[in-house]
This record gives sequence, structure tokens and C-alpha cells, in this order.
Amino acid sequence: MDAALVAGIILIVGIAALLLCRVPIAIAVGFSAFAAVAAVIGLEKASFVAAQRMFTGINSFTLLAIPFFILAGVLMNNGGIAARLIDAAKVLVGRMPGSLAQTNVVANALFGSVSGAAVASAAAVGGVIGPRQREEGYNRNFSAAVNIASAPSGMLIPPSNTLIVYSLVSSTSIATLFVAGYIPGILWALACMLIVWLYVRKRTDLKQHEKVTLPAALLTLWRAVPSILMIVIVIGGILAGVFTPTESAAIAVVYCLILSFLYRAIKISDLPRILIDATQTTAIVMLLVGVSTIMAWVMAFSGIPAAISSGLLGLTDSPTIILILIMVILLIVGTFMDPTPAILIFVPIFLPIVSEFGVDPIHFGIMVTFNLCLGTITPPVGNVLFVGARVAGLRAEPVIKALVPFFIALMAMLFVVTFIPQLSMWLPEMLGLLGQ
Amino acid sequence: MNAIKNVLDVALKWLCIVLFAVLVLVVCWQVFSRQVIHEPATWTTSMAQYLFVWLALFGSAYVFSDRSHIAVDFLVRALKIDGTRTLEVVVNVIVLLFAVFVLIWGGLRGVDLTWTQKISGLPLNIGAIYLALPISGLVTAFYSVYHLVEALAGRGLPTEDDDEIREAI
Repeated sequence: MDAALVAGIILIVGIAALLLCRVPIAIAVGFSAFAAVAAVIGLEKASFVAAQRMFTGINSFTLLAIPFFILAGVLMNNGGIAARLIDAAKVLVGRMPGSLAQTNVVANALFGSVSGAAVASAAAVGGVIGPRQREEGYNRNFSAAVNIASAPSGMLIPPSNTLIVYSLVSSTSIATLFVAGYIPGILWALACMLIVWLYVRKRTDLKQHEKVTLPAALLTLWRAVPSILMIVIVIGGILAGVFTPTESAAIAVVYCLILSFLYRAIKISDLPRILIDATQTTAIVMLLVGVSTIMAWVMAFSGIPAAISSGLLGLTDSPTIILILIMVILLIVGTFMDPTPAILIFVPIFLPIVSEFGVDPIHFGIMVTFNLCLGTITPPVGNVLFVGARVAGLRAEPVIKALVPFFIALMAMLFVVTFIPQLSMWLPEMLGLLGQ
Repeated sequence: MNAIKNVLDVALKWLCIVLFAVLVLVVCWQVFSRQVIHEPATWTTSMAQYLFVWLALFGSAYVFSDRSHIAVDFLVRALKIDGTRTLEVVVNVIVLLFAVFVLIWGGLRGVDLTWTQKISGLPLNIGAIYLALPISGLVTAFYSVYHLVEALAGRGLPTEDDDEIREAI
């Protein structure tokens, strides 16, 4: 057998076998990739190549944006910023039928526009709105489902760590990806709002109108202005060329810190806990990034992407069908894998294939992220699903049933986002970000 | 062994906290020096990158302490495989092998080869940065041996409640 084939088999069989043994994903990928390299160039050289690749994989100023955005997200959760965003959302959609459920969706989207973590969003927003919904007689499974279904919109609405990871593996611009994520992210939230509207339409027992006087409403919005201003600082700063994405993320941290102290929501003594919390999340992601650069060596050497590509092309030569096949594969992958490792492993395989058909890497990034975000709300592995259910104090099974209509609407939206590239490309094009 | 683990946990925790805090300051100084005092600092980018490598590697070792690296465990649960202990042994042996071969052995080679490479603008060499690999590898190896011994003794096995609740980013 030739070395390329051996390396490819070791990588694929190794990852699959180790994952089944519950080895952490990063170690399953790293160890299998290392074993594959060793089979080709020998143990001693392989250990150095693997170490060196891990080092250079992590040693990147661009990636540094990720820990900062994670830290900013943790601060927002602790710092009274989340609460103010929820209040603002309530003013915005509080007069719609099913106001609390709609508030939940909008609050998740707003939270997503200042941070990029769906799990944090589901925990923060669900924790506040869930109990109020229960008081007003909402079905508990339904209200948990609303929260869970809408939380991942924040992974598409910038800033988004998932999109930063995609930019890394696809060599695309973070600024362009961020801007491209706005419309699909908002569509995600709108799909959830539509299902909520269909559900509450017949429920006359649910409170329809929140009585808020205009001055009170304006005051609430005013109180949320400093939190919303973060969008201007972070995204505006990147687009205006004042900061790089990494710098804007560091500024976001400082800004959140100042707001949190002003709101008296955290004390200096809380900072070590917050920093270590963010460190753990960061480290998990970075180890994955590091080992995936070892895997990239094996991929290139063994020609796995080319083999899968010719396999797919052997089935059909219709770009549409191949795109659908790739989307179905990713949906399946997404059910048992988080978006970050899935992007690190599968984008290098699929991006070259779709690029040949003229799919723009930016558009592909948005559809892949949309696709994999669906996996965060589905069993058997769905972080947002399990955290959302836990925050609501419910078991996952009944919540999953309530999630089905949302899931169908979001699947339809995935189809739309996949086959209407303008939804992703129009905004970056308007802002002159394409072709940079 | 428990005593060593406790000391390591605390030391790593504070190392990461300090690294992270300094990292934020360095990048903010980069912006401040360029936009406000118009004398862009030349050392901040490489300094931040290297601090980040350290934070990522030591943070990763710290996460091995309480086994929080994300794994895919639904199949094990779905098949109701009655081998939690065996699997725990397998997992920790693989982690140990990875730490020894890649992080420690490969990392030491890296330190060796880059020890004389100077970093412009900083009084450091690349080899010193590379040291994070073997050191974090040693710590990771220690944690995996610790969990291995625990598993063999039938203690500290993951329970049903250990759901994956890590941040999905």
C-alpha cells in the first residue's frame, strides 16, 4: 500500500475509533494525525513536526480575537449588560402577541450582536425570561424551545468566534465574514419569531400587551444604549479600519469591564473567577485549532479532500446536488459535533470542491455556520439544547418535541441561505468588502 | 499525589489568570499607542502572540485537570456500554501518549532548534516560547497519570450528569 493511503486510513479510522472511546475530540484528532505522520516519516521526526505545527497553528494574532470575545461574553453575563439588553428587547417587541416569547428571541439576537456565544446567551436570557413566561402561563417546554431555538442566531450575527475559526481555515477576511453574517443571523431570528407568532395566534389566554408608558420605554432603551454601543465600537471600529478584529475584541473586553464596574455588577475580587472561566473555554478551542493543523498536514499528504471530491463528482456532476449532499453530511456531523471542530475538520475537505463550482468562500462560510448551528440545538450532542433545558429546569426529551416546528422553519431557512447567495453577499458587497 | 495535583491546579490557575490579564493590557496598549499617542509600539504584536501561546497551552493543561475537554460520549451512553472504567483507562493512556510524544518529546526538539532564534523587539528567543510545549506536556502527563491511577482504583469516574455544557462558540 502506498504511504498516502496508509496515512489517510490511520487518520480516519483513528479519529473514529478514539471518539467512540470518549477520548476528547482534540486528543482523538491530534493523536491520530500524529500516528499518521509517524507512519510516513518515522516517530522521531513526526513528534517534532506535530509539535511544531501545533505551535505555529496557535501562534497567530488573528486567533487572539477568540479569547477576548469569550472574555467579553463572560463579563456581559456577569455584568448587568445582559439584563439591560433583555429589557430593551422587551420594549421593542413587548406589544406583539406572545410578547415574552418574542422578547426572548430578540434578546438572544441582541446578545448575539454584542457577543458570540450561543450557550452563554441561552443561559443568560433563558434564566431571566423563562420564569416570567411560566408566571404568565406559557407552556414550559414551549418557552424553553423558544430560548434554545433562537440562541444560535448570535453565532451568525457578529462578532462570532465560529466565523473567526472559519476565516482561519478558509483564509477569508474576518471583517467580510462578520458583515455577511448579519442578514442570515437576523433571518434565523425571524424564522423563530414566525413560529412563535403561529403558536401564540390562537392562545388568547396569553398576555398580549405589556402596559408601558412612552417615557418608561424610552428610559429602558436609553439604559441599554451603552450596551448596544458596543456594536458601534467593535464592528464599526473594524470596518472603519481603526482596529484589527483582535484589537477590537480587546477593546470590547475593556469596555465591558468598565460598564460592569459602573453597573456595580462585579467586584475586583470576581475577576480571577471570570478570567479562569474564559481561559477554560479558550483553551478547549485552541487545543482543537492546534491539533487540526497537524491534521492539515496529513490531509494534504494523503489527498483525502481530492479523494472525497472525486467520489462526490463520480456520483453526479450537478453542483446543486453536490452542495445538497455536502449540506446533508454537515447536518449529520453537526448533530454529534460542535461547530468549531466540525469547521476545522470538514471545511478543508469541502471548500475546495465547492470553490470549483464558483461558490464564494464567504457564502460557504455562512451556510456552513448556519448548518452547524442547527446541530447545537439537536440531540444527541447539542450544547445549546442541553443548557437551555437545564436553565428551564426541564428534561431534554419534552423540549425536543417542542423544538420540532422551529427546527423545520430553520431547515427551510438554511435552504434559502444556501441557494440565495445574495443574502450573505449583498451587505459585504454594498460596503465594498469583497475582493479584498 | 492529591497534594501535588492541588498545588499544580492552583499554580496553573493563577498563571493563566495573570497571562490573560497581561494579554488584554498588551493589546490595549497596542491600540492606545497607535491611536492616541501616535507612536505605535513595535513589540506588542509578537508579545501578545507569545503570551497567547502560553495561555492556550497552559490553559489546555489546566482543563485536563478536571477532564473538561469536549468529547463525544453519546454513543457510549446510547449503547449503555458497561465499561466506564475501561474507557477511562483508554482515554488517559491516549492523552498520556500524546503528551509524551508530541508535547514533551517534540516540544523539546522545538526548544532545542529555536533556542538561538532571537525575537526582534523583545529580549527573548523563540526557544523560550517553545518551552510552553514540554512544560504543559509534563503537567498534562501528570494529570493523565493521576486520572489513570484513580480509574484503576475505581475512583472519580465520570458520572451520568457530566453533560457537555461547554461553551459552543
